[in-house]
Amino acid sequence: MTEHASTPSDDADDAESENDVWSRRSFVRYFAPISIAIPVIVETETLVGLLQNDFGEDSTWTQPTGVSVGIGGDLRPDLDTRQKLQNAVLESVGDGRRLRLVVAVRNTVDAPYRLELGAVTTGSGETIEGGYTTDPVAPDESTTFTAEYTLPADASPASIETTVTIGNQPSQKTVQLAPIPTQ
Amino acid sequence: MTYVDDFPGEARVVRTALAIAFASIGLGGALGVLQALYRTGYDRSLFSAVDYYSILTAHGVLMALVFTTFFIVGLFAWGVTRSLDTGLRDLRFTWGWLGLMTLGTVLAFVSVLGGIVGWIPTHAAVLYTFYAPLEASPTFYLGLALLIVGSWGAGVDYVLALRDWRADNPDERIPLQTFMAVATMLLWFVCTLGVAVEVVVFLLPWSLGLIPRVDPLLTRTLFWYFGHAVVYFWLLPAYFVWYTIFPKLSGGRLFSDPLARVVFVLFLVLSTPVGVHHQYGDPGLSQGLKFVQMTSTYFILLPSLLTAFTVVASMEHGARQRGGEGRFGWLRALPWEKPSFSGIALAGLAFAASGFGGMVNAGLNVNALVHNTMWVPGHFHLTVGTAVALTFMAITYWLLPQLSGKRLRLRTLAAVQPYLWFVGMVFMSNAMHRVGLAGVPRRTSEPQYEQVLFNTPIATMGELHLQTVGGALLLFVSLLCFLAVVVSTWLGDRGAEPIAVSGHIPEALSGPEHSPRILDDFRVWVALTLLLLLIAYGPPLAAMVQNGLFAPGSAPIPA
Repeated sequence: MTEHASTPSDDADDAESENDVWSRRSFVRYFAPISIAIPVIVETETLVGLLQNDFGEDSTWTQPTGVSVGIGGDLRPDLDTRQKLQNAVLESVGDGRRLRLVVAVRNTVDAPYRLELGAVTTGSGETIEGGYTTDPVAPDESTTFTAEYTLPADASPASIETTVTIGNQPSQKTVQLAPIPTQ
Repeated sequence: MTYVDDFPGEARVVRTALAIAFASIGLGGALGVLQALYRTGYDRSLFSAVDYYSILTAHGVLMALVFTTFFIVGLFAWGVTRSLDTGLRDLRFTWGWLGLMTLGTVLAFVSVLGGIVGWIPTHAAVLYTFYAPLEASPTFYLGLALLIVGSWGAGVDYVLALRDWRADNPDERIPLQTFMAVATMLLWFVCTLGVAVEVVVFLLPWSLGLIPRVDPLLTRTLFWYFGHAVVYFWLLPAYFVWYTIFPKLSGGRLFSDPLARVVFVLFLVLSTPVGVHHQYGDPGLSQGLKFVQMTSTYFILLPSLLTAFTVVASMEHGARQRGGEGRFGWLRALPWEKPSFSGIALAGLAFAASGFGGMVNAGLNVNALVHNTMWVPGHFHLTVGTAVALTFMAITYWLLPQLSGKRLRLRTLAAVQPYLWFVGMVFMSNAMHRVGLAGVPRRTSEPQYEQVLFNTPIATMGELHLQTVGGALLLFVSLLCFLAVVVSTWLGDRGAEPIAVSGHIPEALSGPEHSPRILDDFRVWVALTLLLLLIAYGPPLAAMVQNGLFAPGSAPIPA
């Protein structure tokens, strides 16, 4: 029973009906094409969706607002100074929610430094005034502060206005916030 | 005369191995559906979030380790004896290693079951990757060790059969099926050394309390030394089917025997020195090492692409022999109504798709996007869960009549089953890939964190969960169809009808005489493999043990 030079296929004659219900034609015409068409459709939909997600009209790429910052992230990674979002929490208070942001800053440049946290914008687009401005921080010095905002019930913070002033040069930026844990 | 008449003892061995494999896939598949229902939140009433991990472990071990290994040793026992036209040397030895594998499987499975059933005093919720710091009962590690040692016995059996044949045929080229089986088992010997050391030297003594601690990085590295090559241990038997049987099922002949041998040699040499690409997220391994192993990983694309060419060329040749014409019209001439053909063709298609995902996994930087997300199980459900499993199921329809002398029954169910599996896997795997892109973690019973929003591209999480569950249910229905056909055939009467299949394998269009004889000299390829392993794993392993075998951590990198 070594490798024989036999006819290519010596299994049962292909013309013989091997199936009890459906004919060979059913498989060639329907089963095989449909089975192969399904992944083509599913994968094409996935690819088109991914492209629309990245480059379509509703794409976040068309409105570059920077990377979302979560706990442990730097609020202004575009600058040499350090302003780490040390903690962030949402608490229920009365008929609203209190947002507390704990920020640790470190002045790593040779000029006076100041960080101002401005208004917060909620997911529904509402602007919540409030914030905190540090005293001038000397070079190589650090400080930590807490900023608080009162948001409507069920509102979540989406972004916050920041201004970093180094010397006399202010730098403003809207920072996107990652989802913040609720206590 | 058919195989069961020529080799009744060997046929019994093969049937037993296949029976255990099918019991494993049946049980493992049922657990898979439960997991899908739990993870997606459709039903969380059957077990707890903690029990989920025991069930996940059982699913992985039964499907990826037990089903595959038992099927492979059975398939190769058939292929070696059929192609050499000689029985195994001593069937008592053969039953011995099969018994050892079975004992190991029972031990390992009962150990996992202990995590769910209170009166069994064991636990093993360590997933099928089972490296530290997760710890299982000693019986789990012992069971896996026996399973592997038993499979080594299978490899020894095939090599002995080849040696006996070689003594009688000193100038002949090794028959292709035996060449492939031996090459695969040599790969298995080489790659299981890592996991054997991990289990016997570290995990088993650790779980017995003989040593206080192990180095997680070292055990992970030893596991992945084995853990990527094992993918090829699963895949090469599928290639064995694709190269040697599938061309005949298509109506033609293998395009090139030399190319098939080159592919298996390349896999033997290149499969193991690439395991670090599973550890891109691990600290303690240098970026340089990761980069080198990434490039080695991409070398493995070569034999897979060679396979794609050869198998499709063989399929086209078969179709044209059957009267197929035109640039794509020949596809219609193929026997899509035969489950042994359609299952393998669809498995090959799934493997092509998973190859692209594999390139993403292998990329050092792109991997960071998908590492430890659901993308990864989505990927290997396409590779081992479809390319391998569907091939094994499909070839069972062709093999079982030869092993039992009984004609295949419930043939309509058999004819539909591969299509159900393929479509089910398309839905489930696609959804797994997509939620993986959104960052949904793998190996997590309840991945819906209250304050974490998964930004799914295209559909919502709910829609993707529905797609996952729908796919899983289709897969389970397909599995039930397969088991129904197998059980029905098994219980059928012998000789009632002609079995309608023949074990003859036609010669390749380009035979082994067109290739250099050195391809058949496994000593050369094993030596080359060991040399590459020394280069790939010598320096990192030396760094890990410099502070002591059992001390966690390694020297800081960069120093």
